Order: sequence, then structure tokens, then C-alpha cells
Amino acid sequence: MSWINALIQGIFLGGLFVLFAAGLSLLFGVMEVINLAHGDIAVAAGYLAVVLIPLLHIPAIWIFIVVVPVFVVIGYVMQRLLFQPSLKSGSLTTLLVTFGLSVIIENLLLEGFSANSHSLSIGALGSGAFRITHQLSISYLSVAILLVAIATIVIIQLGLSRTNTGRIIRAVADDREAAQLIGADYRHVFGIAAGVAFGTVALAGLALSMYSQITPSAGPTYLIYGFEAVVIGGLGSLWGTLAGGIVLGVAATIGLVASANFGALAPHLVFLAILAIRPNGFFPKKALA
Amino acid sequence: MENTPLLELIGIVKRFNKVSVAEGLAFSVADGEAVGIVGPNGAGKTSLFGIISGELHEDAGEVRLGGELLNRRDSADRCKMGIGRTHQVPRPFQQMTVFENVLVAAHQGAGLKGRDATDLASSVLSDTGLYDVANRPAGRLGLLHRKRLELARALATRPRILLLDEVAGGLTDPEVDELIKIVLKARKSGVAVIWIEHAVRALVETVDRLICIAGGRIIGDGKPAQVLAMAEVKELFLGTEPGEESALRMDHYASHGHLGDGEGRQVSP
Repeated sequence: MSWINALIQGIFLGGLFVLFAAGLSLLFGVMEVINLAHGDIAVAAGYLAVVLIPLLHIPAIWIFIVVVPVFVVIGYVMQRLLFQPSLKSGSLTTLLVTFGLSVIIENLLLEGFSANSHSLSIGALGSGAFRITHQLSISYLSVAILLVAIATIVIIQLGLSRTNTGRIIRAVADDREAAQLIGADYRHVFGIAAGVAFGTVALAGLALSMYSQITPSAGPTYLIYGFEAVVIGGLGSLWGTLAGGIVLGVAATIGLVASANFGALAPHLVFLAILAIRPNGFFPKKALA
Repeated sequence: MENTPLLELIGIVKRFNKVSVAEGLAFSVADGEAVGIVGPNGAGKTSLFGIISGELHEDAGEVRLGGELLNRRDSADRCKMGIGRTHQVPRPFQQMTVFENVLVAAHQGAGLKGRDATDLASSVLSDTGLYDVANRPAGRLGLLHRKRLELARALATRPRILLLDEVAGGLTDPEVDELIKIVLKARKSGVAVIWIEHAVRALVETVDRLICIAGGRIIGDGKPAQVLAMAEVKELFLGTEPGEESALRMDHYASHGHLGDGEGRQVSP
């Protein structure tokens, strides 16, 4: 029974990883930017919620209505002012810039909030659970996070394939110069993609701070899970990212059942194993589609 | 200002290291005019398009559209202002359908929304004979369709001037005929055209004026028949580089007035 329990809990934990991975997948798929600050941005969103909830007097669960748009704007601005100039000097520069950003965010958070952990209390939703059997129960929050993660992937995917903005993003991702020649301002398009990516990672940060706790240095841990989900799913494939996140979640919870110390290691081992068997991931793709 | 030319190039200079692709190039194109450009490989024809469309930066000189200076505008801006271009090797958005390729152009280049954009995209697709393959991913098209899509996408941006870079290259004679019809139709709607082409026949049937470029300079500019008859132009295309198909073809046309058959097909990468 505990194995089945672990499997099911893992699927739901995977939802959290998927949220972390969605923005990474998008940023890489569209502009081939590897954002090393991704996890820290998520944590920063969590801290913003910690600050805003007492100020705005709104229930913690609804704070995303404020935080996500803020991060969409931050994403757009950061792309235009920070990532865009670095893109010109090659992918290594972008890597260094995002690494620097990661260090800066971490230290600013440390300065502002100390190394103590924080979390967002969402009351009954956080403690309540669906009882399937007396041994198996799934918390409302886990269900909500997985549903939000799936919705995020589906919305991005539909947005990319069905909307005008999505088509332009795909065109720019495919051939930036050709897209410019038909009138697309790729910098603006990159900005939009970065805005969406930051919005999703803000969701991930909020989910994390409701699900467990955040500390200023929590970012990189989740960055790695996000990366692994993107890579085993197949770079640039959003459905792959969804599958990848869930596989990692299951690996983590099953690992935990096997041995208390194995929970953190198991996803990385599974990642390596999948990489050895399918180096291009589950759904290898050339570009977004 | 009735006499402002649509497109004006003034003293364009462009060098790649020591190789000069434009040495004080200057010419203008009137509204609705169609100009053919010929010249040996490496003469700077494609670079010239790059400079007009904003993909390349000139070392000196001015590019103006309708009197407005373009030098500081990027290619997206220039497209919106009315410059549409095609590439010699078609560059469709591979993962998107033919229709989506054209629709994006109608949105971004022509600035249309909703119904207007889909209407323009559909009419461009039927004009260019791509209606039947509209829902096919562009990456799976054959060369003929890729060439047409390249043209369709440029047309969907509603250009005032269309820059065609060897759209007929690698196509068979009947295919070239179809292409000529498409270009003539675009001309009828008032679009000006600059067409770089090795297959001189296509140019002679479509353009009002022919410009011959070599070594970054204009060595002939006038009515196609006159330019092709010029001694300098003939000399240029007579046995310059051995085995250059275009040179043979061009000379053939100039002296006999028709083309030989046996065109090679270009394989797209």
C-alpha cells in the first residue's frame, strides 16, 4: 500500500516540478536562454507574497492574482534590459548573467528576510485532504498544484498553437531574422515569452511556499528539478516537460519510501538513467510546436 | 513631392574585409516600377537586398523609402513601412503550416487583425497557388512550394516594394512561367519589384528596367534589351568563370533571344 501511496503522492509532487520547469522550457525553446536564476525568481515570488499578504489583507490562496502579473512585468523588463543585451554576446554570457542574477537575488533575500524559512499559510486548504482509503489521502493543495501545473502547460501550448501572439513566438523561435523580415519585432516577442516564463515561475514559487517552506537559498535545488524535467521531457517540448516533472516527482516519493535519505537522490538517479537511455528525452523536438 | 522615388539608394558603400560589394551604388525605383538585377556571382546583388531590407548595415550611403531615411530602422520596421523580401534559399517557419506562415506575415507586416488578416492570408495563398497545401507544415514542402511560400509570405506583409532574390532559381521552365504570372499579378496591384535572377528570361518578361551590377558598381541600367546588348554586360557574362551556368544562359539569351533547356535543379538544404 505504501508503494501505491508513494506513486500517487509522487504524481502530485510532480505538479510542483512541472511548474518550475514550464518557464525554463519556454525560455529555452524560444530564445535558447538557460536561466540559472529561475529557482531564485520563484523563491523571490514566494517572499513577495509573504510581504504582500499582511499588507493587502487578502487570503494567501488568492495572492497569485497580484504576484503573477508583477512577475510577468518583471520578466518582460528583465528580458529587454538584461537578457537581451547579453544574448548578443553568446550563450555563455547569458549563462553568466543569469548566474549573477541568482547570486544577487539570493543575497538580497538573505539581507531582507534572514536565513529563516518562511511559508504561506492557507488554512483549511493546506491541511485538508481527500481520503481515498484510510491509508491513502491526497491533500487539497497537492491536487490544486497538479491541476494548476497541467493547466499552465495546456494554456501555454494552446496559446502557442492557436493565438496570434503564440504564432509569432513560434516564428521568432524558428528563424529570428526571417521573422523580422515579415515585421516581427523579436525583442518584444522575446519579452512576452520571458514575461510568461516569469509568470509561471512565480506560480511555482507560490506553490512551493504553500506546500512546504522557502529559504533564500532554496532556489537552486528546485532549479535542478526543473532542469531535469525539461531535459528528460525533451528540450522545448512542453508535453515532455509535463511528463518529465511527474516522473521526477514519482521518483522522489518512491525513493523516500525505500529509504529516508534516498528521496532527494532518487530523482537525480532517474534523470541520469533516462539520459543514458534516451539522450534527447521523451519527446525530442527541434523547436516549439 | 510628386517626384520622390519610392526607393532611393544614394552612394551605398559596403565592404567585407577587402571585398567590395557596393562601391557608391546609387539608383532609384519609382512607385509600381519593376527592376531586374543581374550580375555575376559575388557581384553584391544579395548584399544590396540585405542593405535595403536592413539585415546588413552599409558602410556609407543612404537608403530612403518614399523620401524617408531608413538607415537607422531595423528590418522589422522597414517591413512595416513597405519593404518585403524573399531569400534565395527559402526560409519558411518549418514547424508552422503554410497558412500560419502567411498569417503571421499578415499580422506583423501588414498590421492586420482577426478576420482581415485571415482574409489577406487566404487571398495571398490562392494567388500564389498554395491553397491546396495551406495546412501542410512548411518544413515538408518541396522546392517549388517553398519558393512560392517565400513569395507569399512577403506579399502578405502588403509591401510597397517587393525584393525577390532568385525566386525562380532551380525551377523548371513551366514552374518559372507560373511564378512570372504571380509576380505580374502582384505588379498589377501596384507593388514595385526588384528582382535578382539568373534566369534572364523571367526578368525580361516581367521588368521595365534592367540593372547590371559587377564588382559593386552599376555597369548597365536601362531597358532590358538595351542592357543585355551592351558590350560591357556581354563581356562580363562571356567566359568569366568557367562552368557558370548563368553566364552561358544570359549570353545565350542576349544573342539568340531564347533560352536553352536543361536547367539544373537546385537542392534545398
